[in-house]
Amino acid sequence: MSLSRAIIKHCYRLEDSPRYKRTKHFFYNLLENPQARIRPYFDIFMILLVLSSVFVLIYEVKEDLGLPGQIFELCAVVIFLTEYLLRFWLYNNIHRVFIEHYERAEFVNLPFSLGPPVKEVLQKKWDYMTTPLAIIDLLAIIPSYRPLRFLRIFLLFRLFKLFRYARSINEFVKVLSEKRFEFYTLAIFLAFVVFTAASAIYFFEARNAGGEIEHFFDGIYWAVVTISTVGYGDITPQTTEGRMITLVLIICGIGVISFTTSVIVSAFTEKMSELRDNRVFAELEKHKTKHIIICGFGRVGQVVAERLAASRDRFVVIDPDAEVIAYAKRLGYLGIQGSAEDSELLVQSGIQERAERILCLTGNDVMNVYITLTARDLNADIEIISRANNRASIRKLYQAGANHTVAPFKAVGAIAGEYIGQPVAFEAIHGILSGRKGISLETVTIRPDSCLIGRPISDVDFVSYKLILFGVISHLDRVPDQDTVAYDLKWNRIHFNPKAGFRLSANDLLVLIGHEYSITHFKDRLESGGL
Amino acid sequence: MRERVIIFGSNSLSSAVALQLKDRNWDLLLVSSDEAALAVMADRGFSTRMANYSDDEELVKLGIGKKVGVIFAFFEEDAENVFLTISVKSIDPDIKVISLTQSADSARKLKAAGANKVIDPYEISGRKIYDMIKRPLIAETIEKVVYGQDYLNLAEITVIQGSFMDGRMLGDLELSRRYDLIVLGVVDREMGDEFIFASSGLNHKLDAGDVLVVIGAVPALEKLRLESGRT
Repeated sequence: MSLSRAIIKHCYRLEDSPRYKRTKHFFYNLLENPQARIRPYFDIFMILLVLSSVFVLIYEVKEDLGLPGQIFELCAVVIFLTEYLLRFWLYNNIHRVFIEHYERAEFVNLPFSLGPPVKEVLQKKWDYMTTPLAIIDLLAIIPSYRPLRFLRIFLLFRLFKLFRYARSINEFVKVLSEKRFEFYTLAIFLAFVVFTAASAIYFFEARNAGGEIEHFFDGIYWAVVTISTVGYGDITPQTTEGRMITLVLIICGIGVISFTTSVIVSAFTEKMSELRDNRVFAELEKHKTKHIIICGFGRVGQVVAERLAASRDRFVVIDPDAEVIAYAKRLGYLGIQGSAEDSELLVQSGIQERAERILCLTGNDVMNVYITLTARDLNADIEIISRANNRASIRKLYQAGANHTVAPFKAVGAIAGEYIGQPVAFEAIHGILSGRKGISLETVTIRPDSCLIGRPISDVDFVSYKLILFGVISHLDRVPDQDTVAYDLKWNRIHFNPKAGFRLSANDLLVLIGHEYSITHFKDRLESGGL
Repeated sequence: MRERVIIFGSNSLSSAVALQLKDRNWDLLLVSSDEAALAVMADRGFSTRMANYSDDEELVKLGIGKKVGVIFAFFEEDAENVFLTISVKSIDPDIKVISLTQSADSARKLKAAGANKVIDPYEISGRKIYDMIKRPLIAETIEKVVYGQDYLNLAEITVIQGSFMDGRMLGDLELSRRYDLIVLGVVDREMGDEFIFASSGLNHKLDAGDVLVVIGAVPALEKLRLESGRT
């Protein structure tokens, strides 16, 4: 009884210990966590170690490296062994299992016994040891043990360890394992044919019947060489019966080869888009900065993407149309073909953590509302901007959780309405909104160390900079000047057309209208303090 | 004076324009081949007409060549808009045609077909979304000026012969100080019919027929409009 008590106590101590957790987390990052920054370095180190240890092994076939070779081999084995044990340790938390069982027993008031948790722990660890990758790891270590030298050939298994460290090999295996059923069928068929052919050839071509087959194994060897269409020709059938069998086997061989090829090819064509998507997701996860998800790559989406790309913002495009995605990729954007109302796809695109914004820009309002709702459901804080194609949809989009809506018809209504009554004003609005003539509205921040602070606005001759001062945006708590009209924005206050006496303070924003060149020039002069 | 305005097409964009223009008392006519959509607009008090735009005779019956001054080509297909623009321009080259476009490519074709103005709503929306992301304050300000009815507004003022602006230099008028307005730009007839942004740095001499575009609060705009109308 006291033993189990001591174990439980120890388990709770581990559960509480931050150091234990830190250590475990560190090794988790090093070995398992695909997102950890340290992981790629470790992988590269291991790949080099595996390759060089195999190289040494091959080199030693003819030459003797002596002591340095032995030391290198020893180091490699120690590292492999440590890695194996660490993975074994990381696979699950033993103390948690004990605690769970203990708490369950406490809960239902039953006496706690060590039996079931120990069994569960052993079961779990056994599960780990029997995974293919763990077996490969073990086979890479064991032959170094002297009494098991005859297993030296398994040292080449170290090469299989590369599966662990290279993502692309991993994906290759995963894709092929999707076709398990086809491969099983193929293997059974192959085993059947090989066995039948081997028996037949052994029967007809045995040495005492004048043939070249000594053992049954020779028959199998011959059958495999023939069916694979390799045909070394070291064993050739001498009797008519033997030759008949060979003919049949060769025809079967062609079938087997083409079937295998087609299974592999179809596995990859089916999975190709998924593999590409995985690349995109990996690319998104690689960076520290947050990205933007653009759902719908229609005209609006394209304009936004073009401008975001120009300002080097990171974004990913999701659209159900394969052609549209192909176009996006041609332009060099990250694109995923799929429908954005699919929660899983949005999660993979990082909506819960790595994305800061999602833009729902499809031409279909039903879709936009649905995507907005899904996105809001997945992440309560993300900023959602949605396109409304109908007047009635605007309210629904806000209800579904959009932060902003953009309505193409609203802009058109406003400027087209202007055109009839005031064609010149229309020209001005259209010029600013479409940015065609290079004229735009732009803000310039007054830095806390700027020479303009405290000086009246009339000190700056905007006309000579070819700029129009539209207003100054300040904090909400700034009291408007008596001569200047101020309007409140959501979080700020804009002082429209500030009068000569208006004094600038730190972090004010000048709102300027002008050509982009003029604005850049002005910013430049402001930075250098040469106004 | 040809006052009639025809809007071709039935979709959310055309109805947005119709609603905008209704407030300003224009002689409006909505034309489309979609009966159901027209019925909806008719219920809202618009005059509507079923017509086939590809038939020149029907276009003439709508008043093109006589009463119609402006048409909006707001079909969803660029090809339809191009066809309509060409048809209308061949009947009456003086009609102003404002067309919708889906892409920058078709915008050029529409211009070539003779459209006076081509609006690309998707480009405008795209820019707006970009502004919302990168420059939220600018987006909010533009929203206030362009779409807001209650705060700031845009107005164009035509210089009338004999008014206080006639014959004076724009810089000397001090509109900014006296009326609390910002002069966005001007059409100086001496320099052509092109709209020139005030940021170009030129000081224009104003003559009758020149047009100023100003931004300001609605009362300030009213005041300037009133005073510039006096001779």
